Amino acid sequence: MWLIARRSFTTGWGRLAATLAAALLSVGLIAGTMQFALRAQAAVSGTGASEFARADVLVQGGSVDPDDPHAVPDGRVRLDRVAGRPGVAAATGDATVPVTAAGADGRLVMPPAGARTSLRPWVADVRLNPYRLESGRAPAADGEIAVTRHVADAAGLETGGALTVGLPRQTRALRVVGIVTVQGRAAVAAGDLLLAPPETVRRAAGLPAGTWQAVWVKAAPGVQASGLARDLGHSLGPGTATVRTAEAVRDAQSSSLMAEGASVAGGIGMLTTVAVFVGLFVVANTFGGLIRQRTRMLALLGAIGATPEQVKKLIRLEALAVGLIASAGGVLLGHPIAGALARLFAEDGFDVSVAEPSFGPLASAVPLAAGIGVTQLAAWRAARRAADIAPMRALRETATEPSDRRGLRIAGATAVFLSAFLFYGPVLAVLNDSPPGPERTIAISSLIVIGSMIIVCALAVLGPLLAGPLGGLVGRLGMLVSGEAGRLARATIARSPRRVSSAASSVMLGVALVTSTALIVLSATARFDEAGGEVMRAEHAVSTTGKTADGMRPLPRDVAGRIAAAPGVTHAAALTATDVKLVEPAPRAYTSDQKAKPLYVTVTGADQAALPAVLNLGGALPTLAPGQIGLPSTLMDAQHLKPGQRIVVRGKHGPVPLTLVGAYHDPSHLFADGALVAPATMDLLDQNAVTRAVLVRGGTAAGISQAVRGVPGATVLDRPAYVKQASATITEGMNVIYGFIVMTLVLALFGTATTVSMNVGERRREFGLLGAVGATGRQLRAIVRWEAATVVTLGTALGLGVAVGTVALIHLATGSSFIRPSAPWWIYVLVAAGALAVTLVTSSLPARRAARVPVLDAAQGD
Amino acid sequence: METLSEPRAGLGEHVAVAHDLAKSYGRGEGAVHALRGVNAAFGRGQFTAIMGPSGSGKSTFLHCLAGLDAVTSGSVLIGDVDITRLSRSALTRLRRDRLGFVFQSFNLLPMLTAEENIRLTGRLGGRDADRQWFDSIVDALGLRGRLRHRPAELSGGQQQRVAVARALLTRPQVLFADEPTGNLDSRAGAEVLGFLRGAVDSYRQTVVMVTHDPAAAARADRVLFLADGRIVGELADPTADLVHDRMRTMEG
Repeated sequence: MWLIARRSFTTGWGRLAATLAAALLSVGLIAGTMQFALRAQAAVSGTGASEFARADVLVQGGSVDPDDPHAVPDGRVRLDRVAGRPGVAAATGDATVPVTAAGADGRLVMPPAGARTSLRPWVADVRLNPYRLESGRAPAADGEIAVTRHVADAAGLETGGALTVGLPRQTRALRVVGIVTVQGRAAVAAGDLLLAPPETVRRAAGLPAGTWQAVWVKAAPGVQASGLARDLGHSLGPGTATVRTAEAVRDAQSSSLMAEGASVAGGIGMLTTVAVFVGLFVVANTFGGLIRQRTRMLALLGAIGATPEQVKKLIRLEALAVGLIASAGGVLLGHPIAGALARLFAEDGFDVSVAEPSFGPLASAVPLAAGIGVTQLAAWRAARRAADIAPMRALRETATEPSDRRGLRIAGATAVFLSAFLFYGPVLAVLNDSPPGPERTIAISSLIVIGSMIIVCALAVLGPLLAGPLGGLVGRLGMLVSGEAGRLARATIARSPRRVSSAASSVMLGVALVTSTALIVLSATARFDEAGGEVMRAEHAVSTTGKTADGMRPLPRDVAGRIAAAPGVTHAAALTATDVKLVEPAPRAYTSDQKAKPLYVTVTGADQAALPAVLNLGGALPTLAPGQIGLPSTLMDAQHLKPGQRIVVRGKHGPVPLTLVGAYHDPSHLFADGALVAPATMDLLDQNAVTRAVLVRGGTAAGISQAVRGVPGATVLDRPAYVKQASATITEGMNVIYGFIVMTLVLALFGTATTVSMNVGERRREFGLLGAVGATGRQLRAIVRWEAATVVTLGTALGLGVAVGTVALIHLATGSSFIRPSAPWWIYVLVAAGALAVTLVTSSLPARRAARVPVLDAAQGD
Repeated sequence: METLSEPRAGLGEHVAVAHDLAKSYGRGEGAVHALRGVNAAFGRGQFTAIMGPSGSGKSTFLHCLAGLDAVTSGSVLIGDVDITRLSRSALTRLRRDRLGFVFQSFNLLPMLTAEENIRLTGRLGGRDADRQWFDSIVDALGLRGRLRHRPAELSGGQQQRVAVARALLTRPQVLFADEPTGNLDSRAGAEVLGFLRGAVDSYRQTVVMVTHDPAAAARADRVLFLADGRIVGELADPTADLVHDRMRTMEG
């Protein structure tokens, strides 16, 4: 058997090449997502370096959100209240100012995946200093900074270069005098650090002299960190400071990173599942074709005494060889694919370049094993079918398909169809057990998508039963148009429905992928445009280009005042934003048997006088006075909150009591999705709240542009453009999905091309025969075209059905007005035309070749 | 020893003429010369058998004559058309409209019924044969009860009869048959030969047949003998014994 496998492998290279390439592509896709996932995980959780590496105890002013290890303390500590205490060997002040950094070319430096960029003081005391200078020197004067290596790499900086740093209230150009690493890493868990002389940072954070947000403490020799923390806590008095060991903070940091890494891996795992599925589907399809092509040879083997088990083994051996070669190539191919994914993610503000590409055993062995597994699994059915070939068929003239057991096929399809409900079923459970929101929508969508992939399989099994009648219909049309060629096409389809349906199922897969993506993207975009246009009354908005991990790059605060002074401007309202945590009443769990999760809300601050002029929010929210807050009705319902109720939220400077005055509704989710307050309240929550945009009523684009000249990145947008930009930050991640869909589509297209051309190729003899009895090349091509028409009709109809069904299910299950199965009619026409073009292109070449088959070759038999 | 074989007197014009036909495979030293200048003419209503030992070039000659294979030099006239100068598609059309073929392997399309196979060539040419002609062929070949069957459901003899019917239905100027009885038992073979003979006698059908069976050759009006790419002899009004003797001599 091994000899036959080897021989047929070496002699059948051309035949196997297509299968090999399909397997290679799919393993490449699997390896690529896998390698990217590992790199992303390394970027998120692998940067386990902590700036607290040398410290023993942290004294943080006021209180700190225990759920967020990177939270900035909301109180202040005087350094001299800690330094000099018994057991304290060294102490240094710390403050964190969130900033953005841009290189010389104005491009924003993306902090590592999921983290931020902050301005921190340089630590001069060697006992506490975790920063290791790789080059240059420590910052000594105002205007000088040292940066973590990731910043320097991302901005292409050497020491001596300049960074444009966006501080909460101003933008400054700072000179980079040193480049540091922390514990050998290019960034810390909290993200990128810009290290300035302590006084610079203190002023930027708005702290009085000698006062800091936190103090790092080095314990004296022989003093236990935990004991020192207890002593310091006692002596500072309760409520004034939070004292923890540095080790506890480091542990909290790393466990939060692990959780984040796991969620990234989960998302990418979903994409990988689709890749594995498409790969499996395509490879299985080409293997099926391979067996059909070699029916005679396999039957001959049976006739001369090979047992069905031996034939099975032969196919499996071939699959193994294909799998090995394809996997090895696929692992290599995975690296550029992972690189492309990394670039796409970076465009969406998720930069993983801090982690090195992974070449380790996990990044190679798992895709390798996956590739071999996929090819073996794909060959499983083919091997069974090969073993079923009756020896008699070797003696027949041309390969015709044995008649199918219809009932068996229907039963099989039904079984596969029902197993889709293993995934559809839990949708109801998720619906009951989790609160509405993007997370639930994503979980439900994932389940439905996986279910739909199984439906695709069921339809592929059912395909041959559909191909016959449909071929009859198309063939009838073909007879009207092309005469005998149409009749021949019809007869061929009726006799070999499996061949047609295998090609149609690859078309179906491609069509389903493209259409469902298009439907979701188009309906979401249309809904954003519609709702955004309704909500936004302002004619213009000033926003910035570029994104950070938290969304759009913020504007300096003074911009609103400058715009208000521009000629013709009647209202200019800055939208500021900060995240707060609901403290009182304690967040409710969605169901009684679940633990309540901490509830974070993004609060939007807006000038109350100007607000009605620039935004048209739903509900009847009165003008908010300082200390008052408005919440969306969905949140009030979910948390059982009532108007007039007192609530407490934790802002950047500690708990703030607020009065809940009423509910409103932002149907666009673009302007004030979380909560709404007046600017004075916003100052209580976060003095340094970032300005996301300024909405402007009146004035001209040119006038406003003049007013914001010199503000880095500030751009003036009209209403549709701003709505588009704002919705783009919500739909971020789409780039990756597009990229992924394109790669998967390439694979599906490849599958279509392989199957269609194999179909034509395996009929060389038949075409030659037709030539011998007088069919012209034109007629042969017409036959192929009519068959292609059937393939396209079947594949497109099923694919569109699956796509529309999937999106409709998601719409029904989530109730989201952003995902609807309604799209302009031209989408369907476009998809059908695309499918037609693909099928024609992929079949025309082999058809031309078939038309040139020497008549004699065919007529004399093989 | 080249022979220009003349048709028997009284049979009218030639429908196919080969002139100085040469065919070689490969080039230079290693070239194989399958035909080395063959001249032959085939008159209307004549049944010619071509015989020769294996490798004599008899099949190649038939293929070149029928436009299935390209010639190296020389010409082939079908009626007044030199088919060696035709384009691929013109040649296909000419084959479809004016020539008929019966092969050793029956070459029926498996997905078509017997009737569809019979009508195929005509339909590809956009012509549907008249009902009467179709009926008379089908009845003559005894295929009436088999018209709705697919090739896989027919015996070898029946399949070959379908192939003969397909070839005759377009009323070709020449019907070429390449070992038409090679895959059949003697009874079925005799039947098929009977139909070919009948077509010649009843409709003045011109038939050119390659065979290695002296009994089959005996049904022809004349036999051309090929050896080593040349025509080496001709036998009019052959009998099985005469053909057998001649072959013996040739094979030495």
